[in-house]
Amino acid sequence: MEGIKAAVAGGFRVTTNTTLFDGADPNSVRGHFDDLMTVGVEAMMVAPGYTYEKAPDQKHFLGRARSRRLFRAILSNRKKSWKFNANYLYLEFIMGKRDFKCTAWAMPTFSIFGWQKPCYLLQDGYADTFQELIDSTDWSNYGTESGNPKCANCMVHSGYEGTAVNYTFGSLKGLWETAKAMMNLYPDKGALDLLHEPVKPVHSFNPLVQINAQIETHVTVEEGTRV
Amino acid sequence: MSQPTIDPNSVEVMEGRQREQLEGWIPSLASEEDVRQALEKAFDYRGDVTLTLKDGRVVHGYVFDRRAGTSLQDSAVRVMPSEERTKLTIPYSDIAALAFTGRDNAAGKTFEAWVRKYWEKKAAGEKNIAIQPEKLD
Repeated sequence: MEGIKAAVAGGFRVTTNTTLFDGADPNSVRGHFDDLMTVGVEAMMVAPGYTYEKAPDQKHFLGRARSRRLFRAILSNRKKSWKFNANYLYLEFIMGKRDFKCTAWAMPTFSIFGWQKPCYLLQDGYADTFQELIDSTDWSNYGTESGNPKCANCMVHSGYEGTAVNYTFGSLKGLWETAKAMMNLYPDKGALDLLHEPVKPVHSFNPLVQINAQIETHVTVEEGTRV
Repeated sequence: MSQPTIDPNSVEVMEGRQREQLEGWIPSLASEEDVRQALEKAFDYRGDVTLTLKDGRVVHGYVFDRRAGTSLQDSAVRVMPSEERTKLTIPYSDIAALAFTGRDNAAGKTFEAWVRKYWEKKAAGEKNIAIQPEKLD
């Protein structure tokens, strides 16, 4: 946070990306969003963590069911002060309110090794050119719907937000639904109840260190807010 | 691709991968299958390896890609040597020996290990506890 404050004070435009794993407390995350907006972050991104095969920790990856419940708790009863640097239909996707298929090439990754195949998350080799990436990758092998176990729990921006963007700009219906989503604060009493559930990660040596945050107890639906 | 046996939308927590302890391993490359499996593990490894080629050259670096062909001659690993920023393409058939000489940089660095260290320091009475990252070199 000190770094963020320093960057904002230095005149930089600051945006953040928050990745959540098993054991994340939605109250803590909501408090974190409040803090980020208070210190002057321009906009935030958030997503469930993905099962990186090379990650040191292999025990705290959220499955889709838990991801959707977590993000319903976090992103429902949304505060007007929160600004997201995201397609709002993608946020509905991670809340479990809509379904999208993966567009694995939507956010390609380029590094010193080349263009990562097939996507930002999986590392199945590298292509030397973007055209080689597109031509030499068997795209039918990827995405949750492909049956590839490596894609089973993925709900990350790199495949699914591109799909949401395509949906937004693919039709007037998509544009309209996106506009509605941007004005929606998603009042949801059930989601408030989720905020009261104890956080029980499947694997944990000790309770995680959490930011102290108030548990909200009511929903305020402002006049004119679409639900 | 076959359909998954478990509906991914019903999964609560995704079990990650159980990784083998390969640091220090020198696999046998006796058969074509041995070579393919060992180099696949080298590609998967979270550290550098040492390849000894049949012409006597020794290459130490990170295997970042592999291209599987129908034979060892037209299959290759791509390596970024540890001392230079270049990419070497080495056919499987040119490789005489493989050793997992580099450190597995991610081994043992789980979140639980971090939390355990934090609580050990706290129990020992330390204040302003900071877990310092290990040097990679």
